[in-house]
Amino acid sequence: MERKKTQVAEINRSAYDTPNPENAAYKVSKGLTAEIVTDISSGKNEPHWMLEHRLRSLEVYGRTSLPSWGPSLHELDMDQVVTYVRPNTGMTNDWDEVPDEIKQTFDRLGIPEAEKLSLSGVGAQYDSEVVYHSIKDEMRRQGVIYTDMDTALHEYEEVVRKHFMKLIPATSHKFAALHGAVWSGGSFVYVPKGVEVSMPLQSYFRLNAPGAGQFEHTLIILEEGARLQFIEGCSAPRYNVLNLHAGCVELYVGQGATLRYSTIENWSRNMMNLNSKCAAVEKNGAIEWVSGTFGSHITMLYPTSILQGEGARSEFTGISFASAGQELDTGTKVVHAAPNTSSMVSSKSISKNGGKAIYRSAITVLPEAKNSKSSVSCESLMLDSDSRSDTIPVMDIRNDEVDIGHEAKIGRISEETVFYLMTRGIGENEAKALIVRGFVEPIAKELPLEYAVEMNRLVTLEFEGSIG
Amino acid sequence: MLTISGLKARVGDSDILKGLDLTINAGETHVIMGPNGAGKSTLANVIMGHPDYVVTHGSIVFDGEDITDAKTDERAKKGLFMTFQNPEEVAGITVESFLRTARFAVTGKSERAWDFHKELLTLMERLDFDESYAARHLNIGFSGGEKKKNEILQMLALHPRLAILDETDSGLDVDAVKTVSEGVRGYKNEKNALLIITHSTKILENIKVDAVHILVDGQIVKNGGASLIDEVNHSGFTALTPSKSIEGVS
Amino acid sequence: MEKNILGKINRLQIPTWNALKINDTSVMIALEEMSAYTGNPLQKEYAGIRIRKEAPAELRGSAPAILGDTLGYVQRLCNYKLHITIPEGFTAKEPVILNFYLDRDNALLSDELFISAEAGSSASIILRYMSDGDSDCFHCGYTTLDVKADSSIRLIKLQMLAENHMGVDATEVNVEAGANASVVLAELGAKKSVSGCSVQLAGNSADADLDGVYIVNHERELDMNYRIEYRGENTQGNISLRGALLDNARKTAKSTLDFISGAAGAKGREEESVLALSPEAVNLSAPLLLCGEDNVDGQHATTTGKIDEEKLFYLMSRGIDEKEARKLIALASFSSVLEKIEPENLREEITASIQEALNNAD
Repeated sequence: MERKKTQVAEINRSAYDTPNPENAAYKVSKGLTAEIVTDISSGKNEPHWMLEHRLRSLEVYGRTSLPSWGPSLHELDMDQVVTYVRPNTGMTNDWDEVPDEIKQTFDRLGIPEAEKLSLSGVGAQYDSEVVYHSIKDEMRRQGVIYTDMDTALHEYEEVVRKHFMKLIPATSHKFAALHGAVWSGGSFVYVPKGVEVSMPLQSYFRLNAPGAGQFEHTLIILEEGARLQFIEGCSAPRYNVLNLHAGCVELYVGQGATLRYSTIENWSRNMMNLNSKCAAVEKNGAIEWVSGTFGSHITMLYPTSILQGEGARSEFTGISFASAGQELDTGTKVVHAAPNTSSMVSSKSISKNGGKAIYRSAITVLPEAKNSKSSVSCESLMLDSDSRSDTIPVMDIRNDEVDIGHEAKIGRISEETVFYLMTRGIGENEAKALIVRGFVEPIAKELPLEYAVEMNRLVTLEFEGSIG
Repeated sequence: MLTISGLKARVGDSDILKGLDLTINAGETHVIMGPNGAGKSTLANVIMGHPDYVVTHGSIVFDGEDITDAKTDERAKKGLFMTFQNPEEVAGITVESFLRTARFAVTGKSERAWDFHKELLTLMERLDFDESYAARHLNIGFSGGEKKKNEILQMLALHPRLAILDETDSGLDVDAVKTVSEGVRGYKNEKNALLIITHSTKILENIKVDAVHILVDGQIVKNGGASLIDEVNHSGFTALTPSKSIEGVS
Repeated sequence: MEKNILGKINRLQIPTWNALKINDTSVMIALEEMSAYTGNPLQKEYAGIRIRKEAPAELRGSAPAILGDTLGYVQRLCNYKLHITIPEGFTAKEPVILNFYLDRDNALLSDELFISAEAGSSASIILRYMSDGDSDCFHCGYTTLDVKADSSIRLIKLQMLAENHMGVDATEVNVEAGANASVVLAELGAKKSVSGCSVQLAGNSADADLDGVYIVNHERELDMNYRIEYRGENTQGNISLRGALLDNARKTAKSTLDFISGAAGAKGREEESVLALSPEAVNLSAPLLLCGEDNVDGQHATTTGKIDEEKLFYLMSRGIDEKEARKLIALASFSSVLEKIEPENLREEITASIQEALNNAD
């Protein structure tokens, strides 16, 4: 009982927060120079064009200033962030070959078990490198490729070269440039024309080394009519020094293809999560983002959908839960660039114990996007007056054949509703937890089951912990 | 079963109940009538312990236990229940999962989901409630009549010892009043009790009433048997309280 | 011709992506070539109301951040000052009207206006800005409206500058306990107009309505930045924006509801309804909802769209031709704001000018 009175974060997070002793094979020195970048590239035996891309990105990084908007990033000292940490193991497709301490980490997170039950394939990254990658045979036989980015860069060099950092060029912002210079690890997925991947693929990113950065690159290409659900999970143990995550996700959704990209981000609360995600959607294709942000110290994340083919569609379903010491600045960007495109945004946030949740979005409708539709709905729940909840949406509409709606609401748990539930015998805390679970339900039902259960558990624990 | 003595209560700065006594025994059906603003709904909310209502004097004793200061959910666990005039809408929780949670809270017994589901469907059929409503979010998108039926459904599912029906018949059409009052009759037995709050009398037609109390300006001004209902129907509340000018029943 | 840049005005309270070009705005004006305003906007005296050509004795606090550097520009260029006081408990029977007229000989108007509504007073103030002529004209103004306890005041600002002229205007409103402020901002003219308004609901149960109505046509540009700050308990404030965009218009609407921690029981709603009547028009909106207090009720709704086809069909089935029907529906969408404009002849004048703009649309 006594434990419940301590910070919830500390009981609940044990599966995520427990670090392993640092035991890396190779580590670059702190800070960022052309030598470090060249070292990373030559260590991976990369083609020359990639080294050039890295060095160009480094140069952009040097001349780009931090964003003039959003959360303050003054705590981030780039000279202190170790960019590249290679774990003391190679890549394998057999969990038995993964070193015990690393495997135990993924066991605690439930990855190998989920792989057996409900996934078509799994990738697991530990610090800067992928330690495990596997895909079920039947998927492989249908031509589905699911491997780590380093392997893809060698085996499918031309495909990678054609797509790599084309949706998110290094010039996008400072952390995209940083990513371009020091990226390492991540997953590559290719689904051929007409192939439906029945069960999801899941990549899990684990950052173990203190004070390090993780810069994985995920590239997914769906050919015409293909279907895929991809799940990305992230966590890191808790350290007193800041860690940095600046990953990059580029998704190419072909004609009539559908991609669902689900992310559960549960980084520890010393993480600066400055991630970039972008999808380009062709004619009648669809991207569905499902995004849950629970962890990190600061997050800036705005998955972007470029609806470039006629009839393309995007959905964004997001939830964030900001508690003490957290500033979660999340949302989405949508560019309607073709006729009859549609977008739907549904965002919910909860702020508590001084946490700060910010919803930020930009919906752009270009002149050629006739008959486009967009509907945005944002709801924020404030659980106390020490917390903050800000909604900062922008709509830029450049044609008159459109139907655009935006709704936002801010408020707290209604005392009347709590009373109503209590007259049915439900205790006060449980009533509040029930209302919050109801509030997040539309998002929870979009998540893979084990994550939905995890999210409900998190909500319940937050309530038991807050009053007690 | 329920003994209310010398009850005074206020909301904000205004005194609503001004010294009220009421005793209800097991097996009885009581009716409280009175004009708008007399304090009828306040009484219901005070019995259930609504946080906005402050009891300044008197006590509420239920089954020999003083519950004047008890929390709302504790009162519900002891067997008190009220229907709401405007039931709250709660997004994200289905009627069925809400009722299972509440039933577990009240009885403390875990039941098989399937058994509960079957029982719920039987009750819903009795109330002429389409079974698809079991999977809908609590009161979201329900019509006024459906919300009222849902309140009765909850009453039937939770088996309270004393159910307070607060204006359950208002805003219902003839058929719905009939369904609701059949539901109420199905609930009633010798061990439990009913307190019906109303300012009209439609719902009372098919229910056997043991006692009627007329509430005016926070006090009970007249007690009587079922015949008092006809008296009110005939001459309104004004005739019963000659000293004050009060609007009658329309 | 040397141009001066008046920059960093109408700032978004919390900046966002720079590429959206919505964080602030600026205007370029050749100030040196303009003759200063020497006109008299007051046509008559108003019994019981004190009007003085000087600033009030007490010092002004700093201007709200969203108005940017406007106050600085106005103070630097100032050539007209007026202090209107509605005495304690006084109820004005007719609106106080100021008609500012700009032309070649009165090309630059920089007005700093103070309106003090003393406790328990009630009045309506109308400020109208018009201009004419081929030479450059520029209006740059700052109005401070101080609404003391339990008073009730309506401020109507009508920006009707000619299509070749520029305007920058800001309004700062402070509403004390139990008082009520209604601000109506009608933006109907100018080549580029920058209109800012920040209302602070300082006292408990203070109440404010901020209504914007606009028509932007031809190559014109309008940048609005409206905000209500809730400080007192049980305060209520709504922002409502209605407008139509024609031709190559460019409109930016920034609106912010800012609930400060401690404003328990505050309620606010912002809504924007834009009628886009041209494929070339640019329509930017940023409705911010900022919240540091849990016990509030804040809502926002924006709709942008074409005219409702059902409504159009209904009117046409009654024999009204399509063009006329479109005009009627557009005009109807402004009616809730127009109803707040009194006297009636003024409302009719504004209605006529909106009708004219709609008539000239393709």
